[in-house]
Amino acid sequence: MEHIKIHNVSKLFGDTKAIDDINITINQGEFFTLLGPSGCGKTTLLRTLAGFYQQEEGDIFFGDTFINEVPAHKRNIGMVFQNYAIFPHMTVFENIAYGLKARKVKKDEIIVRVNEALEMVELSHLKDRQPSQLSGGQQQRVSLARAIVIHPGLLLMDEPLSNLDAKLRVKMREDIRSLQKRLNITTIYVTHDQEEALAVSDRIAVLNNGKIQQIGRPHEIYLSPVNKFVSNFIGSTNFLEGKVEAGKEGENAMVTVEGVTLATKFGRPFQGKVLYSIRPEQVKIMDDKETSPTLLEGEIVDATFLGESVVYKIIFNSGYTISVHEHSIRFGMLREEGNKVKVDLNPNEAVIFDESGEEVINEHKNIRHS
Amino acid sequence: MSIKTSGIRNRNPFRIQLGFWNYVVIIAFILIGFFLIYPLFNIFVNSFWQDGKISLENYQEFFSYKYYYSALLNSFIVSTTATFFACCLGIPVAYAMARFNIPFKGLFHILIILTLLSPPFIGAYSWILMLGNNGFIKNFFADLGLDIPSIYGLHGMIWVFTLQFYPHIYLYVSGALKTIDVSLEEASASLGVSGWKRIRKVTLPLIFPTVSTGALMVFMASFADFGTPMLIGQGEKVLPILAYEQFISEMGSNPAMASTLSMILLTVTTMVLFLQRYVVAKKTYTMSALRPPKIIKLKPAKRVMATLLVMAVVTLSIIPQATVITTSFLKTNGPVFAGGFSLDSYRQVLYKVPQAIQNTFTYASLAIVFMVIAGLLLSYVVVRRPSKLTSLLDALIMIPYVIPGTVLGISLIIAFNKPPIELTGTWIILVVAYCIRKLPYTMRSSTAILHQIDKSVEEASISLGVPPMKTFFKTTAVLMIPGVLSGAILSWVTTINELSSTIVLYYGATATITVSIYSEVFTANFGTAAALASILSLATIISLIIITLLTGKKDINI
Ligand SMILES: Nc1ncnc2c1ncn2[C@@H]1O[C@H](COP(=O)(O)OP(=O)(O)OP(=O)(O)O)[C@@H](O)[C@H]1O
Ligand SMILES: [Mg+2]
Repeated sequence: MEHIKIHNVSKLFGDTKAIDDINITINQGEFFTLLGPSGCGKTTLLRTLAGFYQQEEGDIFFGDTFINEVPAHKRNIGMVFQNYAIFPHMTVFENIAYGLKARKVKKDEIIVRVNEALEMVELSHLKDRQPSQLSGGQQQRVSLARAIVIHPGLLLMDEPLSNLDAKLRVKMREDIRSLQKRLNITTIYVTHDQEEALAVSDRIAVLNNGKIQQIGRPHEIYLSPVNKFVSNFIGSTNFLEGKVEAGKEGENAMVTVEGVTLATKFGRPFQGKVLYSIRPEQVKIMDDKETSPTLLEGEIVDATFLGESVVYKIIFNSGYTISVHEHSIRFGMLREEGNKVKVDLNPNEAVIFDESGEEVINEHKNIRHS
Repeated sequence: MSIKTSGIRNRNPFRIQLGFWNYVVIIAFILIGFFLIYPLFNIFVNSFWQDGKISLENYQEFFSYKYYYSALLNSFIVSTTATFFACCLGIPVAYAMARFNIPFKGLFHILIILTLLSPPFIGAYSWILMLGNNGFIKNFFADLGLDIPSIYGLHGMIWVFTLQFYPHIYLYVSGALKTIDVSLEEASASLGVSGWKRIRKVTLPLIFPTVSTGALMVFMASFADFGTPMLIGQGEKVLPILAYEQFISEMGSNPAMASTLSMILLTVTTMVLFLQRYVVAKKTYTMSALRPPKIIKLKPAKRVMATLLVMAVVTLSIIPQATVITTSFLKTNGPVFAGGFSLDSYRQVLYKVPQAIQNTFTYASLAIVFMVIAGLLLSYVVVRRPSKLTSLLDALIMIPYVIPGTVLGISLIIAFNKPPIELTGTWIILVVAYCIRKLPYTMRSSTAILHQIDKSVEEASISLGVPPMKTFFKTTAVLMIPGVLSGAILSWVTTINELSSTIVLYYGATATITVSIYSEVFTANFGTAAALASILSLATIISLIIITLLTGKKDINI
């Protein structure tokens, strides 16, 4: 069921468009993430939804309600801030009860609901503490409890975990995710950490310069980026320059990369220079003795053992270096620096971009602006 | 679901809130315009007005008669010399207190602050008790056949101002010394620059901007002071006295000349302010100590020396307070001390001037109520709703920094002594004067605390369903209270000790404690004057304790 509809929304600061013609539809109970580099407009979009900014153009609907004209305090939104924004002059309990009091909920019901929320975030034992006596992680839990206790129609979180240390971040994001699913709250989550986004989201919108680049499920974003920006921003990848001789829609086309010619399917007719993108774990390293015209010769110049995987840097004859991840399956499989190898660029999993950075293999009508 | 397009663009989500804050800004502008700008403009016009036409006659007269311009000269000599000596006392004391292991630091610190907050003329007055023509120290030496100079004259003013105002330097420099990273001094030590040379070459230049701000405060305070020169100036007049006399002269007042003198006072203070800003602007280093300097453990001999230095300065500056309090418990008969102790002075005070005591506390309390409200709302507008309009408001609120009390008093009387608005002689005009003079202090502490309050706290509250206006009062306002209050109490302390504008504005029934002390001293009723002054000192000490409790720290920023 469609729940949140953001239609052609733009917000200007002076002359610059902080967000530019945003269209997003979010379903009931969905965990939706806004992902993008610093300054791309994530916070701006979130604050526009919350009612702290008024968009210059476009409309926002919560369900069937037209929300443009509704002031922030009447939008029934739960918000979790990066710096927690706990009320420093109230105890944990009072912080969480704050929104319920504003809604004139009866006293005994407040107690029941606050206790319930405290349990959900595992803070029952701290309810009479002053915020100054809480750790960062605990403060963020208070902030989360305070936001969900009011049964918000929409939960907004702006980089809620960025002030926490790495380990706690992983635990908290799992907790947030399971709580969100349990309560079935439609959630918009902002982060610039792509790993976090991939881990928790139902769907992700990648933003850059105030514009949506791609909307999709985590694996779609990762495996089928629609442009060079997304492919570069999510995960890491090798970009190789190449050339397409002739490619007809739906037919095999031949891409020449580093002197080898590979066959791949093209979503639209294309001819000319391209950028061949292949992720480190999609590249296959073969024995030097393998012979096939689609394999590239290379030499390992660096090997870094990371435990579950090994990262190799391989230099081609052209002087170009790519990085390759290989599972360290068993002892004896480790390759040494100086080893000569053959490399399979795995065209079936590669993504190819034209010179403007647009993807040319898949048809993304359904993924973009869905 | 059909897409409707909204008709209204650029609607402000803070509509209700902005409405309220707009009113705050408008009312603030009206009040400031009415009670500050209009009166100042009035004396400006007045100073150019002679016999119904515009002329420069008043200014010509000022610069051609020695009687007038020597007052300006005196003011300059007294203020600059006092500023210089205050630096000579304040910097070493601050350095010693910050860097060396001196005992009883907390006590010294409190005593220094107390010195600053006592009414200036209490210093002058108790030095008269000690070094006046009939002062007990003077008499003591006279009995030994030694004739030491009396306190009267320019040197006396310099002496009193130095001892009263060096705490400004001390407080600023103490603050600055804490922000010098130890590595700067270590680096210079490792380069072979050490001891005095290091202090001169590294430390002093680094704290120079702060010292100059403190020096500005000393200069302003000495330049604008009324009570001290009135009591010990005798033949030597300074500018505020002259302005006052021109205005309230028994031989017919001369508002035009008083206005001219006020304008000259204002011009000097403004110019000095800008000069200081100009000098500092080129030399401001922002420092934040990553490793604040350690306290040096001195060897016993040096430690005693440093302690003695601090103790000597602190004692010398607190003597007036001690003298006043002691005197208040002495048996007196008019100007003659009859020997022995008694509470007679207090009894007399309660009998003679109960009204003045009541007035002081009533007016100061009225002013504090206003200042808390104004400080709360205006600092919010200035900090959280920045615009050209609010920064103009901020600048206007700070104008009173450069207005000597006498000038403000004169300008208010000239502006409001005739219908339709006749405020002269009412308590209202006093409260207005106090609010204008002290609001900058409340503003400063309110703004400081507001900068420390997280903005998103308000947004959290709004998103939880509390409307913006109510949100302000439930969150930010509550969090600001300690800062606003401590600023306001400080303003309260300086208000009960205020003389220079009160003396111009009061009228019989609206006399305050300070005015009563002043007239008691003039009629040589030293016992009652001392009792009144002690009441003020007690109120000041209590207020300081309250501030310390409120802010939970020892640092008090004046
Ligand atoms: N109040 C404002 N006034 C003017 N410009 C603003 C304002 N807020 C944001 N911007 C600008 O709008 C753009 C988007 O800012 P926004 O805060 O939404 O970025 P963000 O994606 O949240 O970045 P980050 O990850 O660093 O938080 C930036 O270029 C920023 O400079
Ligand atoms: Mg942001």
